[in-house]
Amino acid sequence: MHDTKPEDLDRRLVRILQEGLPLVPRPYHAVAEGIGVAPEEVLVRLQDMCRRGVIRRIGAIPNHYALGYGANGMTVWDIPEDRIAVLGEHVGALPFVSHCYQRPRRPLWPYTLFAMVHARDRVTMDQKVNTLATLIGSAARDHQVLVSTRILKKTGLRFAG
Amino acid sequence: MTPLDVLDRALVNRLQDGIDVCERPFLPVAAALGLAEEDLLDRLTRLVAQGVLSRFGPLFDTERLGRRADPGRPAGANGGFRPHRRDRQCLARSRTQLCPRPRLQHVVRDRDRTTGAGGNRHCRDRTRHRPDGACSAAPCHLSPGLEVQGMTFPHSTILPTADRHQRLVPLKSPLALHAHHVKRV
Repeated sequence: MHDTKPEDLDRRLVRILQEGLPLVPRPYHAVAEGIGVAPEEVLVRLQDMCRRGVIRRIGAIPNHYALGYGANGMTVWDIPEDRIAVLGEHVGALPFVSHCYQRPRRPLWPYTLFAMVHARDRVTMDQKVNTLATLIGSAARDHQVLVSTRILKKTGLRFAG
Repeated sequence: MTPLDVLDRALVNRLQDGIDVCERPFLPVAAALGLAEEDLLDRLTRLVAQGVLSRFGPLFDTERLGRRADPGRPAGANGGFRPHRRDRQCLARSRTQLCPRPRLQHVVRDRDRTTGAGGNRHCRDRTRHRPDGACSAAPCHLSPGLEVQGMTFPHSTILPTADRHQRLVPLKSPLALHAHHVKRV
């Protein structure tokens, strides 16, 4: 147990846990045993990371394609900044939206709200985009759907620690 | 691939909400689905092996991960990297600008000027929005953090050219000071 600072333990936990949680009855104990730290300490550090929002949740990260969702598109919306906080909440609450981001307006690219839509086929996806368009209404000056045509890479971020 | 049965689907849906950080986190989930803990773990292992789940584990907030643990302490006191004097002036000025939620833009390789230790700093976008809808990038904010691999930052996200920058914010970007350290990861 050469690590004394909590930040050092946090970094080690991030590094180990991005590989996935051991799928055993006591997963955090298994992690603790693997790095020679008391299980209570691991629980406390992880609870703290959850509280601070560093960890959003510990759970299943589905592969949409393997689940049969072959029609996926990034919808981009030109919405005034002052309306994004409210509309973003509504859009993000829809079950078929997996990611929803605000991004800064850029020259020649006026879109400010981004929402990833997943569906089994193109027809269903268009219906979902229509649902979004109805929800956002006149707040959107324009929108586009950028449909995914090929997966070049699909993975979570990797942290070197 | 074996088709997913009703329980698999219920499991995928339920486990996306996340499990607790406690000694037996799978136990309450299994009970709610009417499964034995062992059966749940078998199914979960199979779903990961089949690729239905890319992973089972923590979902990190990449922006918070790069942030110091205690925002109340000065950067140098946390094993972090104290920005150079010119950067500090720049940061102090940029904090007064209207700034929405900052976004991670670059990871900068840098060296602490007092200890000489190497490390990473995260540059964050400080985009300014004007009421007419136009926007411009202000000096970025630097904070120590973990290295992010496999993430590409297109050229267009790099802060704008000096003259455009200076017209709106008469400051030199801290990024420019360290341009040779910028590592596109």
